[in-house]
Formats: sequence, C-alpha cells, structure tokens
Amino acid sequence: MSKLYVFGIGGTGARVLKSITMLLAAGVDCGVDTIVPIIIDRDLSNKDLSRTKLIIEDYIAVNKCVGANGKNMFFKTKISLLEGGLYLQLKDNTQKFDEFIGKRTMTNENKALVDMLFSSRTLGLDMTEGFQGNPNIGSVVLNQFDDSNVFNKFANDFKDGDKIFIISSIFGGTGASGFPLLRKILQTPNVKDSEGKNLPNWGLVNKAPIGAISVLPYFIVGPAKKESQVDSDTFIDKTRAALSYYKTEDKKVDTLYYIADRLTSTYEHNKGGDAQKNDAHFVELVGALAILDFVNPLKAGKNFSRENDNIQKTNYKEFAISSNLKEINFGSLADETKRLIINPLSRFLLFSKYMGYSVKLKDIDGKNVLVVELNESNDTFKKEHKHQPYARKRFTGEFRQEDTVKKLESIQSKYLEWLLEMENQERKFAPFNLMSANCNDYIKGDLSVSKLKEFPYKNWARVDDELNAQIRKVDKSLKNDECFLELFYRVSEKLINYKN
Amino acid sequence: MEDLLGNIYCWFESLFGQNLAEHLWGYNCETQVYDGKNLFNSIGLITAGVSLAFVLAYYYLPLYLFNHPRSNRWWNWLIILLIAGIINFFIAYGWTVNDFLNGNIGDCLMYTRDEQGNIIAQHIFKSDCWLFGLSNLFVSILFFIGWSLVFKWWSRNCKHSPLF
Amino acid sequence: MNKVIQTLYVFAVIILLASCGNGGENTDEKTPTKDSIEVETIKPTVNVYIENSGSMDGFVNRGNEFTSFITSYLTDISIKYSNDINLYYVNSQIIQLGSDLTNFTSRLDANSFRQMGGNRGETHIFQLLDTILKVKDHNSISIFITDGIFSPGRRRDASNYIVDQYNGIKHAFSNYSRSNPKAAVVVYQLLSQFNGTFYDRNDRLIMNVREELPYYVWLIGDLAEVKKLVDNVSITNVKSSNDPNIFAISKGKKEINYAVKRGSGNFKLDKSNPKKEITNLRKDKRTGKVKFSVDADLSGFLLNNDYLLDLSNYKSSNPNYQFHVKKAVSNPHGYTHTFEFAADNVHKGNVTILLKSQIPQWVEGVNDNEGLNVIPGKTFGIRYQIHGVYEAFTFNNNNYTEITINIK
Repeated sequence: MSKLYVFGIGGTGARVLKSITMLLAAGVDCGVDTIVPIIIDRDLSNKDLSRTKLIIEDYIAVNKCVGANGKNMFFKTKISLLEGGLYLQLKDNTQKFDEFIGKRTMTNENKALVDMLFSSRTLGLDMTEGFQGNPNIGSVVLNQFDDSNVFNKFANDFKDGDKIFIISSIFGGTGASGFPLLRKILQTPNVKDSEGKNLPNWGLVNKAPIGAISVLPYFIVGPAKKESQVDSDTFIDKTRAALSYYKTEDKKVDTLYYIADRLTSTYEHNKGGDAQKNDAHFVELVGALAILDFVNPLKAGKNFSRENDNIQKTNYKEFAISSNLKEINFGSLADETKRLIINPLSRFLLFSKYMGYSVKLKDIDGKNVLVVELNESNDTFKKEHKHQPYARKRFTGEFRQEDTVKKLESIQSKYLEWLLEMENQERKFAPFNLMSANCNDYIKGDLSVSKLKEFPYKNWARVDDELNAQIRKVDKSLKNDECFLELFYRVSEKLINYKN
Repeated sequence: MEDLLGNIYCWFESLFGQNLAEHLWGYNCETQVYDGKNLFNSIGLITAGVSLAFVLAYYYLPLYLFNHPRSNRWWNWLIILLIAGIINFFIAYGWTVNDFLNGNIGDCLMYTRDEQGNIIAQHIFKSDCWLFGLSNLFVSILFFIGWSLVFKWWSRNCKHSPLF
Repeated sequence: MNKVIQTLYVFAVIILLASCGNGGENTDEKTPTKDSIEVETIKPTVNVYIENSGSMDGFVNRGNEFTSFITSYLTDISIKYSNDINLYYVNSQIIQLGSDLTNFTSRLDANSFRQMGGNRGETHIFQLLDTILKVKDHNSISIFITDGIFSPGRRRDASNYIVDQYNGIKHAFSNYSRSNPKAAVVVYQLLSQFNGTFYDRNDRLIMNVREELPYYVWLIGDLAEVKKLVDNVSITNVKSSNDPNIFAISKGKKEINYAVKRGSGNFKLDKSNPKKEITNLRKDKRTGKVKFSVDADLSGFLLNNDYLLDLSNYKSSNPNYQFHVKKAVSNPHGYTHTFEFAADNVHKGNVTILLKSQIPQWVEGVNDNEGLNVIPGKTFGIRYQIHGVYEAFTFNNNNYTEITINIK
C-alpha cells in the first residue's frame, strides 16, 4: 500500500494534477496504489485550482465504489487527500508584499536594503493573486515553510516506502521559486512545527524517493488587460535564470524530468483569480506521464541510483515526439507511450460517448464554438438501458441519479472538455475525432485498435451486444455502481485493444 | 399422448368443422376407424418445428432482426411470431387444400349421398381449409409463446423480450 | 464463424419447410377395395324330403296351393340357388326319387305317394327329422316338407307321446348342432287348401275335410348356405294365400358388424375404438335431448323384419336409454338396421342391446293342443316341435347377438 505524494505548485501543478487524474480515471497503469495530491499556491481563487479540486473530489467519490477484485481499471488507483484537504494552506493573509516582509517594522538600514532589492512596484504587489511571475518574491514568501504547521498533516501521514514528486513550472511565479524551497525543506532533518516539536516521520521524509518535473515554457500570454506584472517576454529569461539555479538540485532528487514546447499558444492574459483558467495542454499530459514513469517499478533501475539511502546521481529525463507536427495523434508517439495511453484514453472515451457526452458546434453570441454537452440523441445509454438485458434490474430507474454515477458522468464530461482543450492548442493533441457520433471511427489513424466494425452489429449496437455478453461474466454480487464500471471496462477492453 | 396435438387443434374445431377434423384425425370411411395418418400430428409437429426454428433464431442467431440489441423490443418478437405464424398458416392451408382438391378426403366426410349415390349435401369446403390455416396460425402462436418461455433465458440480447 | 452458422441455419429451415410437401400426397393407407371377383364355390346339394304319409294326401291334389308351391319353389331353387337337387319321399324310411324335377312335380299326387311305399300309417316327426339329420353331408341343405301332424298311432297316449317327440327332437338337434357348429334351421309355415281325409291324434279318420291347413317347409343346413337359399329364393313370391310365418334358429352367439353412426348426435367418436365407444356425449342443441344411433348388420340371422323391428325381441342392459329399431338407410358397409337411442340426460357407461332368440308368437297361434278336431289354420303339437328345436339350439345361450356401446 505505498503512496506517492504529489506536490503541485502553482497553476501548472494544478493542471498537471488534473491530467494525472484524467489518466487515472481512464485506467492507466500506475505503479503505486494511492496518490496523494497536494496543491501549493498562494492564489487559492485560481480557477485552475478549483477545476482540479472538483475533479479530484469527484474522482475520489467514484473510486470509493471500485473493488479490489475484477478487471476494471477505470478509477482503479486511489486518490486520497491529506486531512487538511487538497490545498496546502499558506498561513499568511497579508495583502501586499511589503506588509508581508514587515517593512514597516524594519530598521532603516534594512528598509534601505529592501528598497534596493525590490522595486517599489514589487513591494506594492498584492499577493493574494500570486506572485505574478516574480520568483524572487515567491522565494521569500514561500520560505515560511519553516516554522509552521503547514506540513503537520503531511508528516503524520507519511510512511516508509512512500514517494514524493514535485510539479512546478520554471517560469511563472509560484512554481519556479517553490520547487527548490520545497525540496530543501523536505530534506532538512528535524524540522519543527510552530510549537517547536519535531515533525513526525520526518526522517522517513528526508530519505524518501523524490522526483520532480520542471515544466518549461509552453505558452505565452497576450497583452495585459489590467494592471499586471506578468510579461511572457520575460519567461525565457527567467527560465534561464532558474535553470542555472537548479544545478544545485543535482544529487538532491532521484529523477528530474523536463518538458517544454517551443510551439506556443497564446493564452488570455489573466493574472490570477477566478479568470486564470488556462486550457489543458499536451505538455501537462506529458507531465502526468512523468509521474507514472517515476513510480513505474520496471523503471526503478533507471530512476533511482542510491547507495545507503544517499542519492548518488540524479537521472535527468526529457520527453519527445517523433517529429515536429502541429497536430499530434497517437501515431506521433513512441511505442512505449502508445502502450501506456492509447487503450485507456480510447476506452474511457468510448464509455463517455456511450453515456451521451459529445462535442458539438454551437452558436454562442454569434460565434461558432465547440462545446461538450450531454446530447440526448447521442445518449445511447439513455435510449437503450430500458431494453437491454445488461441494464435490467441494475442500471434502470434512478440509477443515473445516484451520487457515484453523477460524479462519474461529471468526470466524463470534463474528460471530453480536457481532450477538446488539448485539441484547440497551437500544438494540438488530437488523436480523436471528437465530433464523431459513431463508436467505430473516432480514433484517428490506422491503428487496428478496435473490433468495433463487426457485422451484423452496426455502430453502437456492437457495444450493446458486447455489454449483454459481458454482463454474464461480471460478479453478480457487486453493487450496481461497481458493477457498472466493471462491465464497461470489460466491454471497452474487449472492443478496443491496441497492441504493439 | 398421441392425441395431444389433435386435442389442441380441436379447440378451434368450430372454425374448420368437424368433418375436416375427422379427416385430419385419420378417419377412414371404409373401415370406420381412425387408421389413416393422424395429420394433426404431422402438421402439428411441423408447426412446432417452424415455430421453434424462428424462436431459436430470434434469440440466438447473430443476424439483424434476430438476437440483436436493436431487435429486442417486444414488437420485434411479435413480428417474428407473426412471420412464423403466417408460414404455418400456409403450410396448414396448403396441406388440407391439397387433400381437398386431390380427392384424398373420404367421401363419407365430404358428402352425404342419397340412395342413388347423388350428392345431397356437401360438408367440407375450400373455406374450411383457409380456416384450418387460421387455426394453425393460432396454434403456431401458442407454440411460439411456449418455446419463447423455454428458450429465451440464455439469449444474449433478447432474453427480456417480449417480457420479464 | 457467425456467417457460417447463419448459412447453415437458413439451409436447415429451407429443408424443414420443403419436407412438409410430403403432406398432401396420396398415401397408400386406404384399405384395399374388396375383390369383385366371386370365388367359385362348389355348388351345394339340395336334398328335398317330402313326407308322404297318409295325412299328406289331402294336400297333394293337383292345382291347389301346396302343389303349386312345391313346383315353383323347387324350380326357383334349381334356377337361383343350385340345380343339384335330390328328391326323396320320407316316412319311416327315405325313398329316393332321383333328380328329375319336372317328372317329380308332374307326379305329385296321392297315387304316387301310395305307390312309393314305406310305412305310411304313422307319422313320427321326430324320427323323420332324425333320419334326415343323420344324412351327413356338409355341403348340402335338407329341405323337409311336412304337414307337421303327429300320428302317434292308436295305441299310444298322445300327451306322453308329444313330450317324447319333443325330447327326441331336442336331442336330435342338439347332437346335430354340436357336430355342426354352424347349423341353422328355418321353418316356414304356409297354408294350403286341404281336401281329403284328416287323421286326429288318435288316428281316427275325419272324412271329407275341406279346410285351409298349415304345412311346413323345414330348411336344415349350415347357416351360410341356408341364408343364401333364403335370400336368393324368396318364399313370398310364390303364389300363396298369405305371407308365410317363419321360425329361424342358428347356433350360438354371433359377432356382427356394428358401429355408432357419425353425426347422429352431439358426441365424439372415441379415437381408439370409434365404432363402439363415444366420448363427450352432450345434449343435442336443437332438441335438448341426448341421442345417438348405431348401425348394425343383422343380415346374418335368418330373421325377417317382422322379428327384427319388434322391440320385444330385444333386451337392453341400461334403462337410462330408450331405443327403437329402424331399417338402415342405404350404406356401403352392409348395415341393415339402425338402433336409435335417446335419453333426457347424459349417462356414462355401457349400453348393451341383446337380440333375443325367441319363438315367434305365431307358433302358439298355430298350435292345437288337443288334436281331436280339424281346426283351420292350426296344427296339433306344432309348438312341441318348434320348442324342441329351439331349446336344442339355445340351451346355453338364447341371444343371437349383442351390441354394446360404451359412453365415456
């Protein structure tokens, strides 16, 4: 029962955590049975955070009904939260930076030093909206990790054999500064809490396997609409600066992953708060792949080089695609990646489409926009469950109103949104024909993946036929929601089976 | 036991008439006993067989209209029942009308004759053959329902068609 | 794989449907038609015995009914039945007359009777019959023509004599029927003008009697032959003053062909025994009464319709059903009569009708118990003769046949 504690710092951390949640919902193989996500951000109103939080909460609810036996892989890996919740609460509520560092109460000499180090604009920064691309501020603020109760719950929970992973972006504000600081404190022995007591299990934490991914720039922001200190022109400079600092991380982490993309999309300039909601990007999915790589037991040899619990060297890893295509589909990926994600993503998409979720072109405010919606004419489940033997006495009546099922469908809807967002980036990740209403032509490329075209069952009837066949093999004593997942997994496994 | 099928058909005897019924039982005008072929058994077995064939097809044959996720509504079952019924209707009609036209039906059942041998009344008509066909349609329906209740339970897609 | 199953399946269904085409063909299960070729049988011999005792003289005056009858009857027989006829006079012995019918009939008179000899004085009917019965010839029919008058002789007591004769006749016919299991006897009683001397029971003469007196024609032989003779040579055609009375008896109980008549009531024929068992008997919709009919072939007994249509000659085992008898309508099965049964309600069980063999009423009517006078139309002691024959044939069974219908 080993766990992986994933610290996601800042907006990127939240989005990579969202990607890993989606992958786990789709049933990718995971080397640990529990992942504990922890988001660290000063800007708690960030919409990316709240999106991720909702998805993780829904995931946890669905995962509760998944049993230990059976073939089902959807939602198989457990996600659990620390007692305090998803967010690691930073203690200070101070609004402006100069208040935070307590400039007012400083001596005149220190005040002068502060004025030299920081511009007046920086000093007047309202930090409730994050560090707005100033890692120098972040580093100061985040140093509060020491002498605080921030890690109490984490330390309580930690056990021998657990691992740690840190996600951060090297540009931007919060992440760039947060990663080294966090790593440092995790490896500092005898850290005390606010009452001066040693944090429990901290010795284990110090020695725990630790990995990290540093996400390099993959987007730029457009011109500012309001007063903002975020300027993507400075992203590269800041990246260079941070990277040189990260040399000090050598031999401090077991594996360090890097991911970047030169083909960038332009995001709307929202410096934080409710509107900072960046669309999902393939790079975030790759970030999630890094997590999976880190915990893959088959990769232990490559990932860890320790002697007597001491890290002898850090393994550096990068991710690449076969050629510089603007549009990536499954064919662009390496064999290993294909094996990892083609089946889970395709199967979960099949499941979601069966439940009626689809992408449609809609006219919103005079513009044609692609949206994800639950469409009655695509909702095969709704149309068929009254007639098909697989649903009889199990999935009829109020089944769809059950909490677990509603949350499952919520994730399915967001899953399609996630795929749609990745498809709309400059670097498109578009392995699927998301607008297709059929069950047998939505995977692009000739991958010989599916058995969905067999005569005489056309289109979704093929799925119904397989559902009716598989229901007989499913353990009848399972509760309805668990049975539902088990059944659909078996069916999608039967119908979609990519091998290479 | 050998009269079972005949007794079932005779629920509908008022449709096709007692005289045609006697012929189907195998009544022999000369010997005045039932030493002819019991046609209720012959036709009944074929009807049972045709119904069974369609029932098995509906529940197990992997073909559109049969054992298909889109053909498991109650009215799909009903359509197959009617198709089987119509085939059995024509089998029964054809058999009896063939006997009727070829003079295979005993004279004492067909006609009443006077002392000189002239026909004074006819008892079996072609319409009785149609009505026997109709009776066989009903019997076919009974068989179809019976076979359905026995065989539907292992059907992958249609086990709840038409009911339960 | 699925396509293979489908194709096989379609073939199976086609074959199944095609095999039903056998249904309409003619089956060869109809019973074969009866042979229309008559099998040549050996022509039977007819032995005609005419009593030529003294009491017979009054009958044989030429031109009266008796003589006319003999002539026509024998001629008819020779044409319609068999021309192998042997003629005899019989009293205490049998006197052969040859086979020349024309010669015989032309010489049918008292003189010939006298000339032919034998003991003409006494007539012992028993002995006469006994003599005739002892002629062992299976393929023959014996015709015995007599006035049936006992002449015991002066010396004998007539009452005892009659009883002795009765016993003797009974004994003789018992033996005869035992050794001839198919034996049958027919006795016709006709009338003829008698013109001559009458002998009473004590052998006293009564002269110049001119009355109509009975005479009797006995047919003795196997039932089939006797029946053929009776059917082929009708006695009613012969010129006679009235229809002859008939007494007929044959051995044992005979199985006859009978069957419930389809459509004669509201019932179903039993499938395993449709001729004799019926099921689901209900009240007739129109009349509200329960009814059914049974056809039977009663031709095998030497009985005429007077007998067969007389309900007193039948006994029913089941009082719930009333019945009466009619002549059957024309049918290809040989049924001669139809029994119609009726009841107010359905009663399940057996209904058995027995055809009794009884001595017809006329026997008592023609019988003269005294024998002292000439009574027109009567014969002294005839009842004892008939009773003797009757009891010889019926001592263990006095029903000709029975029909039994089971109502389930």
